Amino acid sequence: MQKIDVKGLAQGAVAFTLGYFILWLAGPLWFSQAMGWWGLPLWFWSSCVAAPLLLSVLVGLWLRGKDDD
Amino acid sequence: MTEWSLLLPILAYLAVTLVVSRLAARRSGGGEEFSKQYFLGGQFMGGTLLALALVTTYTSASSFIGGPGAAYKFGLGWVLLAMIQVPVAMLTLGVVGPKIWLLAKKHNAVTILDIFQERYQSPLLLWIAALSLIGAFIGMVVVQFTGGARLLSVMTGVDYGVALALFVVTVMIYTLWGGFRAVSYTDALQGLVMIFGMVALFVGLLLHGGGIPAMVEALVREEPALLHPQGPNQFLSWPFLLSFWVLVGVGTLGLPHTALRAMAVKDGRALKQAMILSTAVSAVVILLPHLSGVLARAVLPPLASPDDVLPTLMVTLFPPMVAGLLLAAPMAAIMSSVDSMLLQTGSTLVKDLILRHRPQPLSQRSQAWLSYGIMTSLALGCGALALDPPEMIVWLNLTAFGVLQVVFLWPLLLGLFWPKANATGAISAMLVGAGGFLYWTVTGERPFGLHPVVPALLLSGLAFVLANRFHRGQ
Repeated sequence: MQKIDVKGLAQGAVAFTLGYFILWLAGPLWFSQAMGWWGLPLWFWSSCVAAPLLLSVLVGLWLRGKDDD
Repeated sequence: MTEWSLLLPILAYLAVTLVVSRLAARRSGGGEEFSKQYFLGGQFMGGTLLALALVTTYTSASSFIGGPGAAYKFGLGWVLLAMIQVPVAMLTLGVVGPKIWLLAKKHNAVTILDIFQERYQSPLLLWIAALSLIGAFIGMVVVQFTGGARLLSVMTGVDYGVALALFVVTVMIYTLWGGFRAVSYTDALQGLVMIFGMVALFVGLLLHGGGIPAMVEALVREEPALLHPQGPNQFLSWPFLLSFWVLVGVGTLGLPHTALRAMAVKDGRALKQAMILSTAVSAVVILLPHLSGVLARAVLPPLASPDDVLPTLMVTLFPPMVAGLLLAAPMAAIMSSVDSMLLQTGSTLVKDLILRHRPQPLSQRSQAWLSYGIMTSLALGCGALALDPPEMIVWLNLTAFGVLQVVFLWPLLLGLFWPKANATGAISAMLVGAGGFLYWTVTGERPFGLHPVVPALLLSGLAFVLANRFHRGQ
């Protein structure tokens, strides 16, 4: 049975949430006037599609890496 | 007139839910104390099961009815707001999950209040937490029952009372059959239904509307501000948007019915798998219904009630039998939240308020009858209130989510991570947070344009630290 790294998981989860917050915020702050792609504005692609996609991938890489520890 | 072609797939879905719960109940091992086996089921949850059960418990009627309705009204800005919820499951599992799991293992804890008891050893704190939890969950369950029955009644033409009875009886039976274990497996099934339903609906919408660019063009012709992050009339101001990072984001770390899931995880590997999967599942079940709500404006005639947007889309885009299957998705979202809240309320009443205070322990058989009796009374009582919801219940639901956050967040977080945290600090945080939140909610005042939960949590945290220091000083 695998042990749980309490401190590492908590710090990682908070860091990834903060990173997601910054990406989420960046869309409307920096791209709200930018042209869109495929009908939807760039801020939407950035905050509502790219940010969650990137979060899912990075969390996957981080935790799969921890599995190998 | 009853639309049987819509109703039959829904009835079939409810029947499948019951079968899954029965199978899950059979798999539960005996030998443990009844209340532990019924209200927690042991540390049995693998990564996929935990991720699906956690996300479906967290997402409720608001994610499939109210949320897409607001997106229909306010445009893409509401999708931005909803996407705040994507990291919540990962954050809950990563921050409070491991600590709660270890404490549950060490102290044989079954409820969040068991954790509080181990940590603070204060009967007063337990009473405040228990009463807040029971009041808040009863209000939330009644409103979820009302929403689900109304949805079923409006879409299929079945009488409201019959629709309500279908909901209440289904949830009651599978919750009684297998307790937490059955609820977890049915929640996982409901999670799969939600994912499948939302992907199918979105693809159907794209095909029907001629693709995203064509639909967005129609939206721009109607109201260009629907594409702006702040929405029409700048309704979604920055203080409002950022408040939601507390209300539906960080503040949910303390919600007892979601935090409890972490107590049942099998091991560290399962916890990590659940963190990965829950992030991806959250992104899908939050993005698709909300984006569909916005784009629906381009293909549907104006709706009298924006909350009807997703059900209307389903019956517009698909033949009745398929639409009936898709309607199972919002119903799954409602049932998966209601079952967990009912179970939490039941476990608080049975384990924390009755068994804990009895001088003589009850026999296993008596514990079982007490638990079944209380769960049945709760489900039927909430169902009866949902027949004609009193005004107080609606008000309670509006404040319940916030009250749970301000009562539980700091006592749970600081209790887990601050060795010097004591009961005086935790009780002060609960009372000051709840008082502040209720005051700002009742008066309608919005300090700095923020949602009341933000200043209430700030005050609550401050009260915790100050009262904690004062007590230690004494």
